[in-house]
Amino acid sequence: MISKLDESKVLNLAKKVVSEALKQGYDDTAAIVNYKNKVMVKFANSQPSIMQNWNIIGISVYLAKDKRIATLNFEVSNEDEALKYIRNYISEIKLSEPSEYYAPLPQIETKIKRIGEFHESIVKALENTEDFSEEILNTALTYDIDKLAGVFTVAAGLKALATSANVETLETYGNYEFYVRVFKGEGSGQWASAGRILRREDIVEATKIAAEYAIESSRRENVAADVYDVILSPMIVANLMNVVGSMASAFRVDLGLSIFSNNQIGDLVASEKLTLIDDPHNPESYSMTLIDAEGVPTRRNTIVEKGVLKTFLHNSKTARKYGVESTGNAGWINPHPWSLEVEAGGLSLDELVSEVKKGILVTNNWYTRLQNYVEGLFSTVTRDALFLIENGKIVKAVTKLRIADKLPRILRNIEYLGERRYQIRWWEAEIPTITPYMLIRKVHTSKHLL
Amino acid sequence: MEELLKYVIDVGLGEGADYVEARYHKLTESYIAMRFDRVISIGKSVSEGVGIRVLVKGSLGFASTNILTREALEETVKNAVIKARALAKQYKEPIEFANVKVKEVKYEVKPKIKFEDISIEDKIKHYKQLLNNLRSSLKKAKLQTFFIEQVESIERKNLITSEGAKVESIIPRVMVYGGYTIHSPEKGTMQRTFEKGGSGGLELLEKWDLVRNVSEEAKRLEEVLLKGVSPPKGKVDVVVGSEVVGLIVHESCGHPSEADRILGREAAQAGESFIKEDMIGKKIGSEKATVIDDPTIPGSYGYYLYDDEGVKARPKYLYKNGVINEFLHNRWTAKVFGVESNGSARAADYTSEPIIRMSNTYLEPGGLSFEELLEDVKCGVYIKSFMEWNIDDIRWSQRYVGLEAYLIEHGEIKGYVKYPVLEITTESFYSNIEAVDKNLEFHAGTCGKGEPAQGVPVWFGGPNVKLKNIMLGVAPH
Repeated sequence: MISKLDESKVLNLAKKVVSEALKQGYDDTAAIVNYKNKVMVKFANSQPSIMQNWNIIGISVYLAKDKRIATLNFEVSNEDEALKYIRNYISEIKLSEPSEYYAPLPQIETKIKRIGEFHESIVKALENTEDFSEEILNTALTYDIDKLAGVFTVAAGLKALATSANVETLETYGNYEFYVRVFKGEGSGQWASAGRILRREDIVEATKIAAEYAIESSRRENVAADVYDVILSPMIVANLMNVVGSMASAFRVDLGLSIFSNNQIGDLVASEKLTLIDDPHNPESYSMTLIDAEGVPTRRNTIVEKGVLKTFLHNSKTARKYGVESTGNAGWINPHPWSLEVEAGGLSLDELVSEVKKGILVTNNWYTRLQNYVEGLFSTVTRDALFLIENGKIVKAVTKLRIADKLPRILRNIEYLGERRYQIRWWEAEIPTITPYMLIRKVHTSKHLL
Repeated sequence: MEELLKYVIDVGLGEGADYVEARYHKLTESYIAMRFDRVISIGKSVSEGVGIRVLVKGSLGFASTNILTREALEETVKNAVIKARALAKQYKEPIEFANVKVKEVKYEVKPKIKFEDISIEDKIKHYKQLLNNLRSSLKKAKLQTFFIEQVESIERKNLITSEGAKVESIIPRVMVYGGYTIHSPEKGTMQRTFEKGGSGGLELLEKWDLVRNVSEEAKRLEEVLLKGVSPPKGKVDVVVGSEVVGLIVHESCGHPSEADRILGREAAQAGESFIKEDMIGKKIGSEKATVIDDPTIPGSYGYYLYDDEGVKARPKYLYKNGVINEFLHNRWTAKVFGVESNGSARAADYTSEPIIRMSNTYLEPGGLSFEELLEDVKCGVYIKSFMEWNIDDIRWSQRYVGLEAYLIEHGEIKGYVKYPVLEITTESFYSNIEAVDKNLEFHAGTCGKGEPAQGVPVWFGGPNVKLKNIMLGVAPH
């Protein structure tokens, strides 16, 4: 387990890297030292399939010389080797060209020396992961299911940042991620839970939701592809908002990898029901963080407010290019969301269902891929339980469909949001997303034609 | 390093492990990233550490560290054993490994042109030239966005197992990934992303000739954007280009043939398989449907000669003449199925457990020329490339949206088709293969699997393929 000794070690190492880089003649430099302990139990066929442990020190370095930019990442056996690469890289960087994204590293007045603590629930789970593993398996066995698969991960670490603009910070982090998939007959259900504070009841609830969806979908019937009103569960909203939230990066906009590439701030880009926020200050968030990679304090950014595009996500480089301030989302090159949130509505799941005349409740998806990022032409495959809704009632479980539509149209057609939010992080939603169920009108679906 | 690895093995066995495997794994990468003719940044990454796997009373444990002192490695292997032992009672079916003939081998891929033999300046110049050609290839449409990244890497591995296997390897690779948007005020935008990859040195850049090929493709895509029409309605013959065929066989033959997936180990992540344990010998397609996974192809992106469990690699005939023939195995699944491992275990880096992966997966070519393949198509569509694609989690229902696509009339290419959708089941695809040409091409990709997700370099490929009686869909408007 990480100790006080490690705390001074990681911060001193970050400072040493910056000092060495400045000695070599780099103009700007920043170093992040990340020391991580992580444990993961993977389940399959209602038993563990492997227990994995990691104990890793990573050193990431940003270097600039005459407006030429370089990033270096090291997971090496000793710091001297990293320092050697940094020393030698000065001759390489000089052969490059000035970057249009170069901006001096921001001078931050407030130095935050020590931030956060691991929550005790994370410390306990790191030490006794096998107890959680047993509890997950025992919970699943209380349901009449065929089998369970999933992953339980718990991590704690220290992240030190030092920059040539006099930033020195040390942040601790600790979090867990749990996702579970349950199978019954022809059906399956999957759910996830993640956060900074591990509560047994959240693990139990995620297992229960997955088991119930599996049982309710154990017999499935075919359904034709059509234009449906669709209720998306937090699992699938998290996946789609990962795509949309990442597209708010000003860098992604520049590369043409964003539906916002042709938008201005203030444009109406979604239904007035959608408010999408990036909030790394939420103390429940899996990726709560107070400082970005350039030392800029992070903040709660509203990306879309009542359907209106309020901001792109910036680091100091894209901010300079766009003539605005950094939003605290560095990434040295690519600004990115930390922790997404969709504002809740006022309806229960039953009430959402009652608003649908002909539609589908989609509980999970995977493989969201785009034909065209600027136009948002995409499809995604539904997986796990899928239910047909007729005249405000769930009628039966049905077989898989694809949602094949345009992201801007999906955003415009959001009509209602659920009242309860869940924090989701899993394979298909790497950015933790706190979101309710969402009802979207007139969604185009497709299915194999032969 | 070898001594440290041997020490890990000794400590693991001393702690009561039945099997210990220690892999030193170093991955060095350098990149250049550009937007239009400007460099965004350059950089380097080095990941170096040891991944340790232990088997304790049927419970599998993995631990890794990049703190390569004797003490840290001792603690890491002890921790792996303790954690695995703590979980052992939760296994209903203990894990066992199939026997393997152990070897001591070393192999290395030598680049013809080393990474350092071409300066950063010349690499930048190369992509500026590519951009110039791309811009001048467009007649009416405008180039709205362009980015490109080149990554050079060297992967060094040193694997030792408690059963006596010793495998050392060095594999350099080059990868180029790029993308662009062309825009017409009347017709909107069209986007293309592309990836090239192989093992070897910078001689690969000459072979790929991106400076010429990217602009020539953009010229064709401009025609599709400006002149493309919807695909014909009703059933038509569809000629599927090598790039699309490669992805199809990777997704709908390679993945479902992974024995760990068949046994449910990836059920919560990448899913299961439509192939069940007893389906060897079951018909899945026409006589022309033969799919091979072969890690031993020289110069390939998914190249290796021994896998990360120390098992010798060989070509695997996954589907043979339309029949499910062989699964991809590691030592665990080989034991379950009562066969020998066919050397399919790969780990992306030192932080990763070795799991069953593809390498270079391709559809076996035939003897026809491309013209002969088209010859008897009265009305059809040729889908040369794609952007959007996906497949369900049992690898049965899949969708590919064409990018560069053409109308075929009476055996000849007659016009452009915009965004034809091939949405088809695995069985329908392989059963409808009527003919394959001789033009085997490979395409590079990074295949994701496992938890934490591991990306490994792969090739996927095939010839051009003719499917009969296919109903094409249209992308949403």
